[in-house]
Amino acid sequence: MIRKRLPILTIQRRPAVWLLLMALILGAGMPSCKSKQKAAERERQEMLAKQTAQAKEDLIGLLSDANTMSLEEKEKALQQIKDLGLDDPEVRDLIAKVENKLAEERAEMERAAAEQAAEQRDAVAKQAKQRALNSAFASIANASTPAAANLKIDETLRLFSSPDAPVLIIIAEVDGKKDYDRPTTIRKYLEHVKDTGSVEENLAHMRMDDNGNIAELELRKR
Amino acid sequence: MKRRGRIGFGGTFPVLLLGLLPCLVQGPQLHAQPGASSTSLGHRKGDFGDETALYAETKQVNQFFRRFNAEETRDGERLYPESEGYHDPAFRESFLDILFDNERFASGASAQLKDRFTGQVLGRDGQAPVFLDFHGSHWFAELECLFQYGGKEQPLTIFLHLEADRLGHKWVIDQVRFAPYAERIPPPREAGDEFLHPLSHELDFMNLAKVFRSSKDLAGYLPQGWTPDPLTLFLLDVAEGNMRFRTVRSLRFHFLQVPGWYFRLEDVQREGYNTGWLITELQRIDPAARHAKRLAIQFGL
Amino acid sequence: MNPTPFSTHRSAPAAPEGPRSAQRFIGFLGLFLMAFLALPAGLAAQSGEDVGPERKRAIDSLALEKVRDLSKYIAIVGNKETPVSEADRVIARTLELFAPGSEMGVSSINSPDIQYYPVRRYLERLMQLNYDRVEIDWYDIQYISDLERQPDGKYVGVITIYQRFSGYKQGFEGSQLQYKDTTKKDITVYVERKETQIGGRTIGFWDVLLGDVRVTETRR
Repeated sequence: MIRKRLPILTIQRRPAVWLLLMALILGAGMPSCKSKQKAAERERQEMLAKQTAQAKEDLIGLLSDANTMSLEEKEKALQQIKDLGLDDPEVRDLIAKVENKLAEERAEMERAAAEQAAEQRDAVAKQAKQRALNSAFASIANASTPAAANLKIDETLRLFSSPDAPVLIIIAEVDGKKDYDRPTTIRKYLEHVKDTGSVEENLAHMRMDDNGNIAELELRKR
Repeated sequence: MKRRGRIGFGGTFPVLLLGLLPCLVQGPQLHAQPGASSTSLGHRKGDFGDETALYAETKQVNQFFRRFNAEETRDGERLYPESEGYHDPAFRESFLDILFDNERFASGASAQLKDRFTGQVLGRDGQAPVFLDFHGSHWFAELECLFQYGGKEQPLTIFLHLEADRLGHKWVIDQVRFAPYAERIPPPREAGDEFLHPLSHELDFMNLAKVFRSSKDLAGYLPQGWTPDPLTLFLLDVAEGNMRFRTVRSLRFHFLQVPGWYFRLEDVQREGYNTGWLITELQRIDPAARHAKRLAIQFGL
Repeated sequence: MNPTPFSTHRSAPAAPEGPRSAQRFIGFLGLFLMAFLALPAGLAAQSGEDVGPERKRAIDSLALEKVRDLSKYIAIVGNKETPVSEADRVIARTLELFAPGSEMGVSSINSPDIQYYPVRRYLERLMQLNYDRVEIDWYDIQYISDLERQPDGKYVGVITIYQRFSGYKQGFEGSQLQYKDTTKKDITVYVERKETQIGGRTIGFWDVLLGDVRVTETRR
């Protein structure tokens, strides 16, 4: 995408335009030449018209969804147009629209950033839960007495939304289709680990609830 | 009741192992399957020592079919049509050898009969090899049970066969054999002077009144070839509560699937490796006489 | 000497032969039904459910695991040190492994006639034997039959295993072996494809339930 040049930048970067402007200023200082003044006024009007047209074009560009400038670049470009102080209703209208759009984009970006941060926090919390679960499974399986296993089960159940949180166990994946064992609950699963003294599954996936507890667990047969 | 053999080497080991070796040694090398552990020698060590006998035993009728057809490895892993060794003649031959009760087919005429049978099954006679079909007809079960009947426990034999029904198959009772029924039902007999003359109908069969007055035996008045149906009596006795199931005593199977042959399958339990579901009886029969053979077995003729 | 709930003689009709012929039959049946009877699509689709080699292996090991669970549950129930509440819970779990109405058919070398026990009664009887400790050891060998289809579309198979049961009681010289036997167990396994809704999605699963168990004593 070719970035459009803004009028103010155009002026700064073209010495010829500066010379023209100087000439206009000098020309204006000559009281004897009214026709020259008129010509200068015409030139000024033309320049203004050009700036206005360019500003409109740039503003429309800023409204386009195809614009690939970063939000900061867009905000800077808008500010530069506003700094021109163009007194044109259409430009004012477009500026208002761009301001709205950029505000929305800013809000969306901040929301996404917050979400990402939350996700990262969740991922860290999830990893911690995964580690806690793996170690809980092992302690339940290897508990020296049923009472010790029961204690660990009660403790582990607190990581879940409820003792009835569903546990799905993948027994095979054939042609991309998962085959499961009969669904069970976390309480029954943990009791099974206690009774059989072994863990035959690996963690595959967990779904968390709004409180950061595990709402659903997916395991895979080793 | 046959006593189950002790697990381990039996006294007859050297002789029996000769028959077993081709399967135990060739099998795994030819047909190693993923996940199937194989030792280079036949012996299988388990937590309780040598478990070779348990591996060698034909443990289910299902295994008899799969071994007979070469549809599993030595370790009992299923072979599929695309698997190496599936229906392989050499592999089959080694299996077939251990599917016979070697005490009955070790030598002499019975050994020759076994060789002829094996040759035909493997297709050595130029004909297509013969495979057993679990869902096919011409094989049935004979189940010896005990029932409480007439105030005492009595043996009763139930015959069953597999039948297709809706989405699958089921075993159905197709006949019973029960000594008290055989005693009560008059056997079929030669035609004699007992008959209803061919114009009896013109007299509203009034001569039948004399038959019922003079005799309780109507056998002479039945069609030729009539056979009694113990199954119907059995159903009536069960329905009326005269017959109460106690237990199962034994089970055997009769196969008429190999054209021109009959064989019997029984669970042989003894020391050694030649155990489980084995062929204990083999006879040549007229291929057209399958049905007659079946009736003969069911009626104990 | 106390009997164990596991003791015996020999096997009832074993389940047999294969997916290949089963599939052939199912395929034929499916075609027949669709072509001539125009059955509802649901039923026709049901008849086309396929248990290929890979899936069969997964189902086999799942079924075998249920059988292993059963052994462990039996050892817990048979152990005198297991509190009653715990034993009751384990009995409930054991019953969940079985299809309703399942029975144990037990015979021994000394009494060859098969005795039939509903699973619950079998477990209660085991509890009453009151062993201090029960050990169930597995032989390495096991045999898994093909899965056969029943008229209702469910699959059925038989797993054969060999186990040694040892029941110990406290004597004057510590824990003493009170009873032991080695048995062959032919265990019915029912396999059914089912679907359920969990968290708004449809989960397809294989419901594997144990059925009647034939227990044959092979030696003391």
